[in-house]
Amino acid sequence: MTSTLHVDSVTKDFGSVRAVEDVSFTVDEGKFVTLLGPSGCGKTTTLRMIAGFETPTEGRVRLGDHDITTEEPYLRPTSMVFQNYALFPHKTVGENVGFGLKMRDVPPDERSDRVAKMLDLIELPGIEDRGIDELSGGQQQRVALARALITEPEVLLLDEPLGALDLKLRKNMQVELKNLQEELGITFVYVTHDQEEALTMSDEIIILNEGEIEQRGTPTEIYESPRTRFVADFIGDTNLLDGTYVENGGGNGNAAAVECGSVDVPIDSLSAAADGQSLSVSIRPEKIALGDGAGNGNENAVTLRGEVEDVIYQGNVAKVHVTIDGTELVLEQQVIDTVNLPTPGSECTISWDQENTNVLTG
Amino acid sequence: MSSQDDVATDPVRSQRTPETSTLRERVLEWADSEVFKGAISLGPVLILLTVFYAVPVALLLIYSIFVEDPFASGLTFEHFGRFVDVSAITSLQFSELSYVRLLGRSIGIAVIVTVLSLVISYPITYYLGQHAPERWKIALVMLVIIPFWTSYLIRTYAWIPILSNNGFINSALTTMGLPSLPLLNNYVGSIIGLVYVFVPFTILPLYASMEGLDSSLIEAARDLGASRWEAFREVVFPLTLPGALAGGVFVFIKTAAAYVTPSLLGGTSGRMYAQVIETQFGTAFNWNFGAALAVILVVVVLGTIWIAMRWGIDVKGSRGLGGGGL
Amino acid sequence: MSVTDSIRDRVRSDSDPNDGAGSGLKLATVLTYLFLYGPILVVVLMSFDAGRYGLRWDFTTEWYASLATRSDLIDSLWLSIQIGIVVMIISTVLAVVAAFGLSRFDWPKRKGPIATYLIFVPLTLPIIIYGIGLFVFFTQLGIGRGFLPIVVGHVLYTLPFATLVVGAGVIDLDRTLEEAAMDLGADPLTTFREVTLPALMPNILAAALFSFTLSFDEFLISFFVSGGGAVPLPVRIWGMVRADIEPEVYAISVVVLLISIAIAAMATRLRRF
Repeated sequence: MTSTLHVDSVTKDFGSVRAVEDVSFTVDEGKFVTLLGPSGCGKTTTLRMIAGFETPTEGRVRLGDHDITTEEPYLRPTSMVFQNYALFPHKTVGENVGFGLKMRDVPPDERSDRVAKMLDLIELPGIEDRGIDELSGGQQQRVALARALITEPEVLLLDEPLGALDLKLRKNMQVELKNLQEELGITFVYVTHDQEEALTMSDEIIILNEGEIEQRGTPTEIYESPRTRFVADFIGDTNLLDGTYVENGGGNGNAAAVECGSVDVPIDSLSAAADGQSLSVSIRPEKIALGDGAGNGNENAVTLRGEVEDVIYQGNVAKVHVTIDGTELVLEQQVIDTVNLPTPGSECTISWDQENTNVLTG
Repeated sequence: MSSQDDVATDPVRSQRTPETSTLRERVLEWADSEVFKGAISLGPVLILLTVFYAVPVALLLIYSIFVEDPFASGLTFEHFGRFVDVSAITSLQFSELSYVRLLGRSIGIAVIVTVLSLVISYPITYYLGQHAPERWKIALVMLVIIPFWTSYLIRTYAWIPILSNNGFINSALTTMGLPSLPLLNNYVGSIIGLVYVFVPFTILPLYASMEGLDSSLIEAARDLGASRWEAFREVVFPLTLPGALAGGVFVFIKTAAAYVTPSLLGGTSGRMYAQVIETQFGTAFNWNFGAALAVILVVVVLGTIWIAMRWGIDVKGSRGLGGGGL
Repeated sequence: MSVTDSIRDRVRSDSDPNDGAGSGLKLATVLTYLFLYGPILVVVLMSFDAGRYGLRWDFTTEWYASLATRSDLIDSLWLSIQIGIVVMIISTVLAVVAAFGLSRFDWPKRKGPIATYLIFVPLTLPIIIYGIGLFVFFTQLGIGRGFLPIVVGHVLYTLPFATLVVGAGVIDLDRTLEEAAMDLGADPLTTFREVTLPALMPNILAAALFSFTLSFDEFLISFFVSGGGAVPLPVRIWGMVRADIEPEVYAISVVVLLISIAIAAMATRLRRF
């Protein structure tokens, strides 16, 4: 039995406010998919509709062939890990983890065996009798995970489960969660506003903005080839240039260019774009090199001359701000030797491979 | 599991096919609606409130407008007329408006008691909310709350041995060679007793405001050169006034209708309005007139709340702290 | 003299700039506690005093000894406890139902506040009005005075308080706990039994204890509707105070105070302030 999760044209209104608008996606069995977006983008509402805590205003949610759009949450084969963990404060760790089994009338003996196994899995063996308030934040997080996993759900829903942990613990848990997911082969639908978390763990990322899907893709696709201005801006740092599309622009025999103020950024000819149309381009700072290095024998290189405005040292990297006739670009340079950092006010050449120019259509 | 799709309460399905929805579906859908759930959970309570609260109070209103037995005798305004005593007004003998004067005195005492309660409440709540050491705070607040929940009858008559002519205060005064003071069986006794019984009604909401006040605001004022008193006047007082007023309104309406305290401590000059209402039912057996007097008191109380709400005072803000009512 | 100098002078003039509370504030606080507890202390002192009033105090326990012989007082105490328990049970159950009704459902815009106000009207109208109304009501019904009217009056009197205490818990209750239970397979009834009710237990217990003390100490309603052999203790005490000839009144009062203070202390402990 395949249990692909289908979210079909789902819309959710709260009164006159539309939280989610016509969102569709599928998640194949065993995949780790992240819903990523700023707060208020509709990601949590979408998750809650999959869990059954909200009923879509329009559209359907299916699991395999089974329509679960209006099925009560307690009848769905989904489990949720809540942002605040929602561990029952009046129950012990063991009672919390075993709760789902108790609801399914699993006999006490089997229940305690499975709870013990689950606690082993999350590397907190033998803490059945502890109270919830005796656990650290990280331990509570694991217990919440164990409680959700013990019923062997077809889909595990995670609502910013690492949000309350400190940075270091969060990084460790990201790796552990990913390993656990691969080991169990359960479908994970993960909600976060933390792009780094999404890039680290996901098989695929769905970026939501104002209730609609902006882009869907693997972490590499999302980062390397953002398709919309929102995605380019939201994920990582980037140079965003707004301009107009010009066929055969920029001289130099380019197929086309986007004229962005004082800078012409050469791009491939676009069949979908008309002359004079407004377009934006995005170039990641780490793709730009000082000097004409990127053009080293590469005829696709874009090379520009400018002046170093500012150099911001950040430890392993330095951010170099360069102005080209008033247009500012930021590039990121590995700091191997602080002596070799450029000095503000000096002339410089910068270059990048034209492949790294992303044309943003939305 | 297979029947899950057939659940008739499914709002989406029902919405989509209104023309095919049967009566049963519509009933089930309605049963699932929030209003129905609300009605089910509040219904018993609302019925109880109607039958055993609204009806008894409404009975007084009915009594007040009949000559004698309701519906068996004629409608009349004579009981209200007796309250204002039209003949005394037309003959300009205002001193004979005894019921009006009694109500006026009750309201006057209520104002004094409210002001005194607020004056007493400010220092203790300022201390508890802003300065009390954290580990003592819960205990200290509990100490304020506990008298609130103990018999007001006992706490009121406890003042008799303190205030009477041969009580603690006057014995102490005479021992020191000072003249004794008339503290009991007059309006002084009523006021002391009423402040004592009702001061928690202002302390508790005011404490909530003080507790919620960001102490860095006071520090900022002090940093900018305000003395303690100036910081209180400019920052603490205006920010906590809503809590104080909410409690104050409550003290006012409770005091205006006080019966037990003036009966025990007030004597003749401390006699209050609620006492004459009781007399009509207890000894005078004039229910209709008593009911009219009661209706007037209700109007005063509701009018006070209405005015307070018009002024933007959150009267409900103090309700959670109720208890020991009179 | 510059502005800063004058400010510095003023700050210095405060007795102790590092100590947050001025000594005047502390004194006022101490005096307020004295005011709150002085009369209660007086009742305790009087209950052990052989004489009456005044500064002379002769220790005795004879009033407590004679309490044991006062079967009227013991009957009234027992009746007050019985009424308190019945009222506590009815009020608490209704309060749980009402608290959910008030805070859990999306009332149409205006009906919600109206329902809230209806429940809290008994908090604002004078108790004496309600006591008299209830007296007239039960007289009209031909039931007259007695146990049933007292219980009815006390249930209506305590219900708003109990509803507030339970309602505060319902509002504070983390709804994701219930969602988590449902998500793990608990149907609504099981969720209520396994998660909602236990989480609300402190508030429910507090509401029950408050209902009991409120009823146990209630005087005005009982004053109008008690009689026919059913005289609760506060009404009995009222009679003793008015007659002013029975010194046992202080001893029985101490018993009442001990019971209500103990229960109120338990209840305030349960409620999270």
